[in-house]
Amino acid sequence: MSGAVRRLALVAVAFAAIVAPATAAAVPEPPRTHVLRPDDPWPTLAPGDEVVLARGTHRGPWTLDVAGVRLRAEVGAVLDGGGAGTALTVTAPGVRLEGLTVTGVGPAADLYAPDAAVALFGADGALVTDLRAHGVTAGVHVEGAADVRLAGLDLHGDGRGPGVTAYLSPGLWIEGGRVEGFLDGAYLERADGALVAGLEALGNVRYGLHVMFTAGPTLRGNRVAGGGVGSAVMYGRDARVEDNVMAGHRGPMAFGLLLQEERDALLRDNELAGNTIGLLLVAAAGATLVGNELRGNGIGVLIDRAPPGSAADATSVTLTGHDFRGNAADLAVADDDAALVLRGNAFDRAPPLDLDGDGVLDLPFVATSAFAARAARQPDLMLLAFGPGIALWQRLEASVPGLRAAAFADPAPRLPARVGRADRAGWGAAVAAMLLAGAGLAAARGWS
Amino acid sequence: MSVPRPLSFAALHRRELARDPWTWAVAALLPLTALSWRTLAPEVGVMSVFGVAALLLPPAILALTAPRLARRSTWAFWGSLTLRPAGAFRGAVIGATSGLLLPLAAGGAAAAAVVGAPAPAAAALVAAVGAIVVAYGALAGLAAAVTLEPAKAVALGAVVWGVGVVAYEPALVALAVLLADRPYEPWLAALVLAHPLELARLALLRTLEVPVFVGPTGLLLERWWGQAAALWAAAAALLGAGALTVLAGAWLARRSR
Repeated sequence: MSGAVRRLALVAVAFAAIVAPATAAAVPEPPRTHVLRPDDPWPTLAPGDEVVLARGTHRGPWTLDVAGVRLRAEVGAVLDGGGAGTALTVTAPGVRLEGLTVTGVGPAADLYAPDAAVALFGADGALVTDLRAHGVTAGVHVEGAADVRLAGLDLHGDGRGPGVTAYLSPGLWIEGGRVEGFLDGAYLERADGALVAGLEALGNVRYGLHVMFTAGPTLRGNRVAGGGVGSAVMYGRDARVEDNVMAGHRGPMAFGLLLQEERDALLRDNELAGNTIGLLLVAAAGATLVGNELRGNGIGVLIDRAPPGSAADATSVTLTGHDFRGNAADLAVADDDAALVLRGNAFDRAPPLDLDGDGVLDLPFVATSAFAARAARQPDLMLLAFGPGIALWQRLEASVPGLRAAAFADPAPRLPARVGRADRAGWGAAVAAMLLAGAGLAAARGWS
Repeated sequence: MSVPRPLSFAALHRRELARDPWTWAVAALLPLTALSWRTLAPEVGVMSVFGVAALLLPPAILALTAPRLARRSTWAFWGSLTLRPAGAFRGAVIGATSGLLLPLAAGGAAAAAVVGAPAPAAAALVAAVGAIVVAYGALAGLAAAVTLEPAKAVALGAVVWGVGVVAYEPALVALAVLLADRPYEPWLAALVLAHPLELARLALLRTLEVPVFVGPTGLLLERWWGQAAALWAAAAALLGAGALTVLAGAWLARRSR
């Protein structure tokens, strides 16, 4: 070892001897685990601590204001909010709540300030998993908190407040779980980049999923059913709505999904079934709809005008590869300024003429009618759907080129899927023949 | 010579209509036309069958029954006996209607099978076809009693069919458009509820749970009916047909005097 290297090593050793004790003194204490039994006082927490709620009913309400705390509930542990206010309020970032069951939430049902099972204010990066709260006014309220994740929620409301409400919460993720019986299943406002995936929103009084003033939200793989109104994405841009099932919303103002004043939305592979209106578009400029299934709705797709005074652009939409089946009316356009492009959709009413067998029908199909447009403006007229006079009118309209709404024609519709059709027709024809033969035989033998 | 009772007239006409091959041809029309809707969803198929039944069956019913009920010489003969003409004619109307009922109901059932309707929907369709038969059988009776000439009776019935089936719904739409800025809903509700076949159609829609009950009128009807829409429709069809039959008998009796 040369002299220079030896001197350098000595300096390094001396430096280490001086600095090391100071460094050791700055190391924080390791996170502690507090086991909290019912009636134990709330412990003093340090960042990163873990609190384990033991089995039994713990009296709240609580406020958690220490960053990075992990609150883990054992099976059978219940937090009782005492019937006033929010049961658990979190105001620090990085908190994790796991497996908590909450009861005894206050009665305030304000959409923006409800009494909830859990409220997260400024709790950036919070993670809530497997939260269970039944019979509560509201489930989770998130406000001013970025990148919050809610997973496996099991929330059941009393119909007055929202299941999940989020305001100013960019990057919110809601994954899996169920919200049932609330005013709105999930209400998100100014939650840019939010993701709602795999959530079941059932039987909510108003909206199942309701997203407002949000850029780039994604709704994926959710099931929304049996609500009073449906789901809505409004006043935002770049929404992606994919692989959802939105079904069974019936009533004067009910729909599967509403896009209102929402720019450049993409709707792909959703199933909209058994709703009064499957998909309602109001001033939805630049919307792209691909491969959605619209089945058994009153009106499959309704394009309506923006409310008076709205400065939003009219709806411009491209519908590609849809499957329209069993709707009273497939398409109704009540907005004279709407621009609509239909391409490669399958309509069960389209004459199945495909001589070259390429799966594309040989004739264009107009999926709407004057009656459908009128019924869109005066919904009471839907009562006349399937009436003989209306059927005759529509047949006449379809037969006379001058009467057709050619602007809303699909130039190359697809042949509808034939799932189960052959069997049904075969059995049907057989039964029909047997019935008629039997009855005819009875008559011929002198039935009286 | 014993004087036949009204029931004998019913049996006579029932047998005559049920054995008429044209009755069965008309019945076969329903499943045959239904073949073109076998690719549709069952609900749409059932409603389409009802629509075509409402369009096709009334003229056929009129053509089959009115000439048989409007035989002036026959009724003059029976009227010369001690027979009560009103009762006899009502019996004839009921018999003719019931003679059509089974074949056409069978046709409706076959059509329901062709479109793949589940059992409740098929039953509702058969009931709705029955309502058409009962209503237009009674109407044919009244037309026959009023005219006592087959051609005129058929023509009169056809006019009622044209107004009551072909033009009725477009007229309701026109009325709603004209009154769009006014509260037209009560008128719409009244005009729909006053028409037995419209009632039958709405009951069918309700049974099939087709989501068309929108707007105040739809909401009102849905709440008012609850689950008993089919009963309301059946009662309306039977009452309407009964009233027409009673009126037809009374008209013939007046002519006989």
